[in-house]
Amino acid sequence: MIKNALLTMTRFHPYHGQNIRLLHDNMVAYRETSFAHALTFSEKPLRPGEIFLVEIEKNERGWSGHMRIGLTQFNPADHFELPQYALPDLHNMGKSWIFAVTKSHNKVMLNEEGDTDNGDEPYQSVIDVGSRIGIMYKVNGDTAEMRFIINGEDQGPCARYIPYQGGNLHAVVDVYGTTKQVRIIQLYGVSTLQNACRDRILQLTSEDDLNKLPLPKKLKQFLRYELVQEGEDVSPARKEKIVEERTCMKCEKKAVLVTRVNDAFCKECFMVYVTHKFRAAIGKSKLIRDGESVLVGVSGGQASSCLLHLIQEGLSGRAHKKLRFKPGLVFIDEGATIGMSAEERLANCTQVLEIMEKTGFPCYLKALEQAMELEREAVTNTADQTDTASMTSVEDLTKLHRYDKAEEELRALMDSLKSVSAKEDLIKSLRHKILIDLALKKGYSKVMLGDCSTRLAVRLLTDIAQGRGAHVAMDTAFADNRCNDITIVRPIRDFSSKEVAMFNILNNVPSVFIPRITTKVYSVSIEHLTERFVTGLQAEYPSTTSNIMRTGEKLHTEKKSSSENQCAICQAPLDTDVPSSSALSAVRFSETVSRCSSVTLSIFSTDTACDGGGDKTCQSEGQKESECCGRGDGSCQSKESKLTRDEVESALCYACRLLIKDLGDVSKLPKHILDDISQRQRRTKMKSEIEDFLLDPSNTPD
Amino acid sequence: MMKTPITLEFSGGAELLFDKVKKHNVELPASEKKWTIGNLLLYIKDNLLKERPELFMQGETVRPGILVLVNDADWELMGELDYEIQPNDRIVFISTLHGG
Repeated sequence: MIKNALLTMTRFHPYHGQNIRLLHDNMVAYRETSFAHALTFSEKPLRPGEIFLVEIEKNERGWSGHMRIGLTQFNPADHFELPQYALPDLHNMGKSWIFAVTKSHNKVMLNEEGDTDNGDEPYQSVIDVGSRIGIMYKVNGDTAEMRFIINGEDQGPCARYIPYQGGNLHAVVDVYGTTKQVRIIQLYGVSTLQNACRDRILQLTSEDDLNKLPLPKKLKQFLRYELVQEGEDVSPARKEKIVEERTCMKCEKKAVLVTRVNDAFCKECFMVYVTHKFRAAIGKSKLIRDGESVLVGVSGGQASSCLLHLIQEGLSGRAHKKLRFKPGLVFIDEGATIGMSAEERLANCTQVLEIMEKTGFPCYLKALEQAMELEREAVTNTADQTDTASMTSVEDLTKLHRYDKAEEELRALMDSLKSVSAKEDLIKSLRHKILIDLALKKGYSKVMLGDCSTRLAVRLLTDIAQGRGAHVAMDTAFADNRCNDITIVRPIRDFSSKEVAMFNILNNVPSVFIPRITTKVYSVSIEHLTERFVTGLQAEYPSTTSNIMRTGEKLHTEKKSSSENQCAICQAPLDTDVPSSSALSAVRFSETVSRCSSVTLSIFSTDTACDGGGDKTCQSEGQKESECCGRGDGSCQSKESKLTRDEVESALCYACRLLIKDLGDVSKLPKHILDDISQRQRRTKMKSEIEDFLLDPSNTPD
Repeated sequence: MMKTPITLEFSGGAELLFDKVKKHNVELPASEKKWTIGNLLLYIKDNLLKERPELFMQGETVRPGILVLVNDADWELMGELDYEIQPNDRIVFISTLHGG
């Protein structure tokens, strides 16, 4: 759909006068030098009723005369020899109807001198920069008449009895005289809904029937191209250059920041705006109750430091209607992922811990490698947060237990993933696991994260690119309740990264920059590229991130039923239990077929464990399964079998399956994930064994 | 002809490109042209930037995602690249990006 729109955009024909240079995808014509040989043509012939509209973008003084515009039946595609000028040369060649645009073309008031250069000019002259000149032709029986439309006003016919049937009519523009550069205004390619409807209607109804349409008079005029609206350019708001001193939009004092497309704020109003946004986000959701224990994830970076400061302010007595939840802070040291030295990790941890301790809330320190060793323990809601056993303070740091074995396991896991995107994805999932685990163990019911809107917009697009489209809403919404007991909350999701940075500067909020795996490296990940894309777009079009976020809000989450339907790695609902005729099963089928050469594959089994007849070329990682004796009274001594890759995949969502694909050996995954999958496998197996004995609730007679 | 003393600060990760030094006291050499942010960027690129210029600048201006503050005010309010630098100005470059 977009592609068609781009194809139907109006452009200049690539064959043009030698002094012309075409810019901006051939939509702008610039006369580089001299004043002749500046003929340009429309790329495609003009259709009846179609307006070819150009805007004067640059003028150059010192020349006499101005641009010429008109129609010609010469075809630029023929590469005929171009004359020096449109007038009189092209005109004399015949088959051309060209007119010079003059100062007095438009019915505007001019000074006596007709001088357009002095600033007293009350009305715009038609040859000034910004002026829009268009031509079109209307069919009148066998011939056509050409009309000028200048700055929105139809000037009436300027040439009649054009034998349009004799050949295609191309628009021609001679960028002559003072006119230095013109741009085609897109009326059709990037169209308004109104224009699109008009095109469609005109395709379907004949000229006579147009009058019989049950439309108001104005619309009928619009259909007949008799009503031209100004400013049909529908590109999103571009950033305007600010020329004078801007004052705060609320209090008129001196502004310090421009945000939210084009609003300026002074320091005080900005603080009020920010605090209000934060409180509103929390209050509107009605999720955080009084006295609730909330675990706040602090990465040390700007966004989480900003969040921390806001929480502090909100909880302090000074705040108007202070917040009443009980925060605990946690910092996860991810130095192992980039092979940081122990001293550097210690230095970073110390810095962040110092910042955290100043707040007076309970602080915890975790390392990412601990995710390899998590145990699935029972949850006690009455766990005491003031239990100092695992709280950390700066003095404790040097006595920290080094998780060497776990670190090696993590390194091995990271190294066996080939792409940086997969590594980032896995780090994110492990980080979440640690947060959830800590929250469960210490009795926190909520986890607060400092994700700002720019990051979330990037996350949204990255998710879609990675196959996590089904979880987009969860990943970017205010509340994320993929884990049954713990809700993840993002209170600063409406803050752009610029607002966060400005807030930190104005309040002297300290933050620590800790490098990650995509910092300053030449290889990139999907997220890195998406970030570059979004921030680049945001610089030109300031409403980009808010548009992305707004769209994301409209994508709803699915209802989850049980923990069996959660992905073992990212905890999102499984989006892979689809009927056998879906695209996903087609992909899996072709995968298995390409792996095993055996012909006796069962096509319809969703569990695609290879069941070819003992073919040695089979690549599936099956190990000998030792059967469980089935006693079920705890005396079973059968060895735990290694999970096959297919078994692991069956418990993962689509995107995590792609992650696993990168992985050479699935046994490198953290133990608790593998345990979880094993348990599910055993459950499914048991279920299928006793299936015949289960009473089907729908069949039970009353 | 007077030199213009200014303070440059880099944070949010941008300091990694400047030998991890966050604060730089610089004296801009005297010149006939006025010092604008545009010229300052070229000066930084030639004299202070230690590595990977494409992570700091994009063409003539800063890379998108790097916020520039002049005396604690958004540079957009001061005219961006055209702002004329005054002596003792404090110009802060904050990177709001993730990966470097």
